[in-house]
Amino acid sequence: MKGAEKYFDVVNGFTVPVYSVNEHFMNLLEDAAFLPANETEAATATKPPEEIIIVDSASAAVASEPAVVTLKVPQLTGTSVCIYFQVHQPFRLRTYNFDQIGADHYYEHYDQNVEILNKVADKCYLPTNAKILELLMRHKGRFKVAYSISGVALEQFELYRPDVIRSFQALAATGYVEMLDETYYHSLSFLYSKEEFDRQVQMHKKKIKELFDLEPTIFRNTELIFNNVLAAHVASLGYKGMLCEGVDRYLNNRTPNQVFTSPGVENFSLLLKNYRLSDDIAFRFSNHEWENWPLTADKFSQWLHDHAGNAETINLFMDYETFGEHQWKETGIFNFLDNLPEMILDHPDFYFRSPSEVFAAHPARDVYDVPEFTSWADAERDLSAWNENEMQKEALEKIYALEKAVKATGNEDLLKVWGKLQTSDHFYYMSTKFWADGDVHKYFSPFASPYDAGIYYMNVISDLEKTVTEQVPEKETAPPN
Amino acid sequence: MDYNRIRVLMLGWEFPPILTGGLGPACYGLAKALANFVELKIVLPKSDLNFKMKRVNLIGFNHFDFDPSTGEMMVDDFRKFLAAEFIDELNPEPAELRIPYKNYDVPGNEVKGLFNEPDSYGPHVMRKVQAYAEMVDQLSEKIDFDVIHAHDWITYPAAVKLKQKTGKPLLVHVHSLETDRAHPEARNPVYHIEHQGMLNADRVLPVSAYTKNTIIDHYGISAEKIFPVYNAIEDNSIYRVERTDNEKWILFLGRITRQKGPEFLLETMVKLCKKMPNAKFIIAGSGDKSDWLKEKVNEVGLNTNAEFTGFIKRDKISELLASSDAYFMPSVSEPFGLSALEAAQFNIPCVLSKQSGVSEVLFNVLKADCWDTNKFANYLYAVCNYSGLRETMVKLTANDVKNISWDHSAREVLKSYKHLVTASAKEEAV
Repeated sequence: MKGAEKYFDVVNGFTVPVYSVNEHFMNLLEDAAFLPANETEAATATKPPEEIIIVDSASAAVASEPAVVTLKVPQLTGTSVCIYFQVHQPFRLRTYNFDQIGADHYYEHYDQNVEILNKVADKCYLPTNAKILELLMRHKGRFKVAYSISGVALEQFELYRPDVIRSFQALAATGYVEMLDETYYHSLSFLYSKEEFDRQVQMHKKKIKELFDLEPTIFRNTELIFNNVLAAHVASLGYKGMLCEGVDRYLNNRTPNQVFTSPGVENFSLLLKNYRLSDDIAFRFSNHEWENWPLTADKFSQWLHDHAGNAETINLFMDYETFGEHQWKETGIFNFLDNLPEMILDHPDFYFRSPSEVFAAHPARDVYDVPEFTSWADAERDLSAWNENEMQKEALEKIYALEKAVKATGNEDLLKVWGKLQTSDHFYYMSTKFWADGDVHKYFSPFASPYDAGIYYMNVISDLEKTVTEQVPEKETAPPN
Repeated sequence: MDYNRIRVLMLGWEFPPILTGGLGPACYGLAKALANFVELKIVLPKSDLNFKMKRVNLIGFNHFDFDPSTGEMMVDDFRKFLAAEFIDELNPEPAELRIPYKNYDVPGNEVKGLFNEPDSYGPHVMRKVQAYAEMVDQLSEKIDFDVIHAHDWITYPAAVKLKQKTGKPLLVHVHSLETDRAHPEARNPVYHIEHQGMLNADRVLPVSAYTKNTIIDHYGISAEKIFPVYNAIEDNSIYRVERTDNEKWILFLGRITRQKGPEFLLETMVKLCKKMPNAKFIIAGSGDKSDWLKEKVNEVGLNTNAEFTGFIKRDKISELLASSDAYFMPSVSEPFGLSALEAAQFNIPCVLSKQSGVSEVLFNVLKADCWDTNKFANYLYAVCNYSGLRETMVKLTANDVKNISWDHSAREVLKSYKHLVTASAKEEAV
C-alpha cells in the first residue's frame, strides 16, 4: 500500500497558488445574484408574449409529450439557434522515463497543467464567461447556451483555478444555461467497456449535481463520437436525447437543421451539428485567406436568417476555447460574440434554445441512421485520430485490459489514476495523421512527436500495471487480457 | 545548348568495388542516376577494370605506366576506361593515350605504386592527392567537359587547379568535413584544402542542411552558393531473420571513432542495461576508439551485453540488419549517415542523433541530441518493448524511404549544372 499513498498525496502536497478573481467578473457575479431566483420568474421575464410553448430547460425536461404540444402551434416555434460549448482540459502526462517504472508513481505534468490552465482560464474561460453572463442578462432569457464540461476539466478547476468554477456556477445560476452530461474522464470508454462508460457517466452526473445543482437530461459523448448502438445505450440510461456530428455520408443530402431520431430508439432525439456554420466561427473566423473574412456578427446572422422558414434548428457546436484561445482576443472574437445574439434575434422568427428546449419545440422529422462510429474530428469525421496506428491501438488495449485488475484492488486512488489515463487526448497526441511529412506545425500536442506521446504513455501504463498487479490479492492476479 | 548533353568531368576517390566508407556508394549511386541526364566521365586514383557502368567512363590512374624516356604517363588502350557501349559505336580501334607528367615532388615512377596501395588513404595520402592533381590537370587537355564536379577534399586540389586553368564552373560535393572527422576546431592542412575548394567553387553541394550549417559556421562560406543534395540508397533485397533467443539486439554500425560518439554509446549502454538485462549491443565496425570502448565495456561489467564484431563485409552487414531489433547511431556529427537509411530499409526502428543529416529525411525515427543519453536509453527501451510503437515507426519509415531516391538527388544536381552552364555561356557571350 506504500505505493498507493505516494500516488496521490503529491498533488495535494503542492501549494496551489491562489488567484485573485477578475474584478469585472466579480461585479457581474454580484449582478447575477439579482437575477430571477426561480423558474417561474425566469420564464415570465423572458418569454416573448406571442410564444406559448417555449419554457426553460427544467420544465422542458418535465414535459411529457413535447412533440405533440409543439405540433399544435408549429408556426410559433420559428427557427431555433442551439449553441453548445465543449469545455475540456486533460491531465497531461509528464516525460515519464523508463527507469522510473516501478519506482515513481506520479505521472502528471503538474507545472504544464497548471500553466495551461492558467493561460486558458485568463484568455478564455473567465473573459468568455463574463461576456456570456453579460449577454444572458442583457437579453433576459432570449439568449441561451449549453455547456458540456468534462469531469477532468472540473477537477482541474477545483484544484488550480476555483475562480473558474465560481464563474461557471454564476452562469448556471441564471437559469438560462443547460448543462450536458458526458463521460467524466472525456474517454473513449464506450468503445471498450460499457460498464466503465456507465460508471463515468454516473460520476459526471454526480459532479454536475454537486457543483451546479443541475440534473442533465441531454448527453454528448467524447468528441461527439456516435453511432446507433451508442444512441440506444444512452437512451437506456434515461437521457432524452444526445448531440452528434452531422456527417455528410450519413445525412445523404438531408439538412442537419432539424431534429432526428435514432433507428428503433423511442422517446429519444438527436441534434446534429451544422459543421459549416459552426466551423465558420471555430476554425475560419480569423483566417485571412478565407473569402468571407472578416466575419462579422451581422454577416453571420444574415447567413442564419437565410435559413428562415426552412430550418427548424441550427446547431452551433464548438470548443469553448474558440473564444480567446483558438481565436485570440485581437481577432475581434469577443466583439463578434457580443453582437451575435442581438443580430440573430433581430429576425422575429429566430429563437435561442438550449438542446432540451429544441426537443420540446420541434418534433423529430427524420431518422439519422449511423451504423459506424462517427465523430466531429478532422475531415474524416471518424475515430482515426485516436485509434488508427498500432501505437494507439496498443495503448488503448493496455489501459482497458487493466479494468478488471484495477477494480479488483478496490483502491479508489488507483481507480482515479486509471480513469485519468483514459482521457482521449492521450491517444490523440499519438496520432501520426498529420505527422507524415514531419511538419510540426500541424501537430498539436504537448509532446515533441507522436512517438514521445506514445512512449511516455506506455511507460506510465507499465508502472500502473506493476502497481496494480502487486495490489491485487494473489488469487485474483491474472495476466491482463 | 542541349542540356541533356552537359559534359561532366567528375573527380572521385573511392568507388565500387573498392570501398572503405560511405563516399564510394554515394558517388556511385549519384553517378548512376546522373548518367541518365548528362555525359559523365569519372576520374579516380584507383579503379577496377572489370567494374563497368552504363554510359559512364571510369578512368583509373592506377592503370597508367610511367615512360621515363618521355616523362609521360601512358595507357596502351584508352578504351579500357570506356563504358561498353561507347567502345563498339564510337571507338572501334585501340587507342594509346599519353599525358605529360611534370610533378617532381612525386616522381613519375612512384605513381603507379602509390595508386595501387591497398588503402586509398594511408600514410601517403598527401602524395596521392598531389599526384592525382597533376594527372587530372594533364588529362583534362585530352577530354572535353563543361563542368567540374569534385567529391571531398582529396579531389579538391585537382579541382581548384582545373577551375583556375579553364575557368569552367566548379561544383564541390561535401560528403564529410574535417571539422566532423577530427574536431570542430581543427584547422589542419586538410581543413585548408576543404576551405580552398569551397571558396573556389561556384556551388557547394553538401549532403544535408546540417552539413550546410557546419560549412557556414566553420568555413565561413556564403550560404547563397550552398545547395544541399541528400544522399539516397539503392534498392536492396530485404529479408528478416527471426531469432529465437529472448535478447534484444541493438545495432551500432560504423567506424568506432570520436565522430561516431562511442562515449555516448557507452553511457547509453550503462543506463539501458541496468533496467533491461536482455539488451545486447552489437557493435559492428573498427576504428581508433575500438580498444578504448572494449576496455570500458569490460570495466563497467557489460561484457555479456556487448558483442564486438570488428570490421565486417557487406553480406554480414545485411545479416545483422536483418536480425537486429533496433538501430542506434549516437554520432557527435554525421554529415549524412547512410547506414541509418539502410537500417530503415531493413525495417528496423532507428534511434538517431539529431546531429546528423539523415534525420532530416527520416521523420519517423526517434531523435535526440548526441549527449542526451537518458533520452537514447529511454527510446531504445521503448522500441525494444512496445510493439505498437515499433510497428507504427517501421510502417511510416517505409514511406519515408520510398520518397528518397538517387534519381531525385540527381535532378537536384542537374539543376545546379544547368544553372552554372547557362551562366558561364552568358559570360562567354559578353
